[in-house]
Amino acid sequence: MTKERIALAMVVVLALLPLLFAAMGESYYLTVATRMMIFGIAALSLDLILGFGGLISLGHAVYLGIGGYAVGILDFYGISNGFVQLGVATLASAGAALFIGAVSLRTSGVFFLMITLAFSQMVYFLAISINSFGGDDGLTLNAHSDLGLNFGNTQVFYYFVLACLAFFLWLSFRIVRSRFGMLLRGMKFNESRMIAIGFPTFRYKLTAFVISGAICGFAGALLANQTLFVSPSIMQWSRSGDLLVMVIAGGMGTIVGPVIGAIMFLLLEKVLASFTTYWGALLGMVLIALVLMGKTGLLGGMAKGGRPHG
Amino acid sequence: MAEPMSDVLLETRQIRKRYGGIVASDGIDLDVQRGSLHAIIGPNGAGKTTLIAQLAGQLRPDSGTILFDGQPVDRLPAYQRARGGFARSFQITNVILELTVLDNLALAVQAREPHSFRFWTDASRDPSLREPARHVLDTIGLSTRADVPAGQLSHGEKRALEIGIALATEPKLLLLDEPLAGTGPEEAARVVKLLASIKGQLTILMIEHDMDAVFALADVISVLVSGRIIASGLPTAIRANPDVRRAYLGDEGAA
Amino acid sequence: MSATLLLEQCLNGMQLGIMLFLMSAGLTLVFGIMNLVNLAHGSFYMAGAYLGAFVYASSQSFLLGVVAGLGGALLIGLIAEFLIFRRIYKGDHLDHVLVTFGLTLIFNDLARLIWGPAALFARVPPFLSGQVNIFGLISYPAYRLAIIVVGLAVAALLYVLLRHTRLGMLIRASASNRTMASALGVNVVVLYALVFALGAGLAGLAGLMAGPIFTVIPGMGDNVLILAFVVIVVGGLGSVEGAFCAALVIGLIDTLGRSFMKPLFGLFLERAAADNSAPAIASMLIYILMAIILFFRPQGLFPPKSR
Repeated sequence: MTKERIALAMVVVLALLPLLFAAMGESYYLTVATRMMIFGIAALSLDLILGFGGLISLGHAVYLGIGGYAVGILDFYGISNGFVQLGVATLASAGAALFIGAVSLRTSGVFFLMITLAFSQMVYFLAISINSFGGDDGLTLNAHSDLGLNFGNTQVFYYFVLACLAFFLWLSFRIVRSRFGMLLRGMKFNESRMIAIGFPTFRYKLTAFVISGAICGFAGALLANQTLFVSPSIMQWSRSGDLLVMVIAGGMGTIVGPVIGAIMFLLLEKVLASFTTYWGALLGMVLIALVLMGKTGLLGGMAKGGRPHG
Repeated sequence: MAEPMSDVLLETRQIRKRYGGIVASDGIDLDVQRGSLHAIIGPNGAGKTTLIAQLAGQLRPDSGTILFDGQPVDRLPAYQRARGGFARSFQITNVILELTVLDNLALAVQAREPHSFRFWTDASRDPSLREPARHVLDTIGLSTRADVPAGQLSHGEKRALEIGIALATEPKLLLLDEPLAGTGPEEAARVVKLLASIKGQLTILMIEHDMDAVFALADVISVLVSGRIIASGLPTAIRANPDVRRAYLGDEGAA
Repeated sequence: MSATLLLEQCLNGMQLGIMLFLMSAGLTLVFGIMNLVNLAHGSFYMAGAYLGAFVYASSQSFLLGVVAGLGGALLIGLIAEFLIFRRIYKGDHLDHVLVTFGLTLIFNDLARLIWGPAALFARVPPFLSGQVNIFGLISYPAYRLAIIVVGLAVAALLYVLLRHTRLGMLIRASASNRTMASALGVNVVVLYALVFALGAGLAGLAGLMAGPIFTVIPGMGDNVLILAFVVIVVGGLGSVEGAFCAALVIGLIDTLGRSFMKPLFGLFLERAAADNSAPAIASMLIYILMAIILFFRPQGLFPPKSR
């Protein structure tokens, strides 16, 4: 089965899921599933740079935060137009990614990892320090983004998020098959060769970084709409770690894998958390065991980049 | 400003490069004639790879000028030189092992386009990339291996692909850094045949240790010893040059 | 704003810088030598803080607390190296991130399991609980001054160790050239374990001293870890001297920014605006500094000389 087929099957299953929940009389599950899809979009955005570009960003949750706060702050000032809110959320995240990428992509490898982490921490502390927008306690929204749809209805919101997920899946498949996507893969495996044949690699990496940040910011805006609340904790560094785990567990460089990874991750979190408050430690043990046994990537995933060529 | 087109495609003037105490390039003057195959020979450590890297732009000379088609290029970064018509192959095979042979070539074809900010069309089905790539594939004799990941090629095939990637960018000047490195006799013959077939179609500057190949292919040979060109000329002249015999061929040339 | 306040804040900044240095030294060495990205380094800091505070409180002996905090962190580092880290040195950075992220989760939950989610009280020993008069200018908490003194002493010791002993020579050689150590015929396994334990011990010392100043809670190491990342990125990966300079600069800038940004902004802005924007800018200062430095010097200020 090709990745597109898997993605299509997943979208179909997700589209039918509300019927099942309705039959079970468990409408709460719908909220949980919506959250999973939102994180699926975020994980997918990370896969574009991690799986295809080989860039290990350890600060990707920052765009969730920026997207969420964009919606929250506009709402705070009484601007509830959904097109404006989602647009600003996406653009603001793209802008932040442009800045962060412009600095961090000048370096590589472990530098890149640490710098993306540091910048996400900067925005995290910035959000904490601004008391007008709730500081540490976060910001409660007055209303959902107004797109003419009733986001207060969990079913409506669920299908809206599903439509977004389907759109971003489709978009990502297009991108990775395009010339841009081919080049991205080429740079991941052998950047010096790409430079030698005439590609100015920096601007392409930066573009990928910005696209990825923008999509993740959009996911952040969705997240704010779901909970009607944003707080600095959505961009805590461990959240970025969670996103990495989702992508890698689902299969890097497969686009649909990370979405499934996100769903599995949040499902596991829910299940484990119902047994113990120490589910983080359990997750940690699973992670270590998986790496030590050399088993990562539900959907196989592509070869990892960044290793020297022999 | 109609300047007459010179016969010299690449010209270096007094290129110098040192690493700490080691002088890798000690004032190199080189003229590469348009359309020729110019070989540089010299003992190990003479500074051959350093010279190629300076020409291709991976290294910057400490001083001196590089003129390409009469224009100075020493300030241009590697990717711009590549766009201007330089292409280099590497001594250590530098292909993308994870991608197929055809994808490697298609990427090189793609590098000729003004930019790759094209997010929509499926590159793997675009004839404007695939057809030129297939054409190069034929030239390098790997038509049957198009969809094999480059990592699975034999060493000789990888060497051919290495040259193919450079060719696919349609360069004016091909810089070959030891194209025969690590090949067995059969593989070497294959690469020599390939080089003979493209010779004359574009200008080639080649570094090579294999003297049989050099004397069979080269129009002009320059001898680099300790960062200096000690002789330059037709193969017959080089073979007869007493300095060259003493400095270089004397110990290795008999083989 | 007075000169005495400035002096006091400078001392506070130095104290923060020293702690950051103790955190970063191990991190940068471990990266330089083993090429390992260790997100769990903050856990050693946390271990030092918890063990120190807990043993001191239950035994009433400050010395025992110090031994427990320092030795405990060192031992945990050694055990973790033996059980896990040595298996992943050869892996790629993504493996490092996953494993050490997992370890952090485990350690944080472990602290919560043993000592609960609430903060653990860490006491300042009586003999350091007073104030010290500095040059007759200001009176400064003796404990904080002690941190600076101990930190500088450790930095000096580390300098001697790295510069003037055979072990240090080997460590430096392998930090600048990873294949060097094995070429010198060193037992790499032992060297790696030693370096790792040394780093863990230094982080434990930082945590131990930080206990009474900051809050001892699960996850306390994470924020310090990220600051330490900023330090080693700015200082140049693998360079202990670079980490020392960068740590002091960052400690000073962060502390001075937080205390003087508001009055400074007050000169230009209305009070309300200054009150609102100053803390925001202050919290971003060191990251902005990092961005500027990296923009001009992507390798950091003092990259170790390679080759």
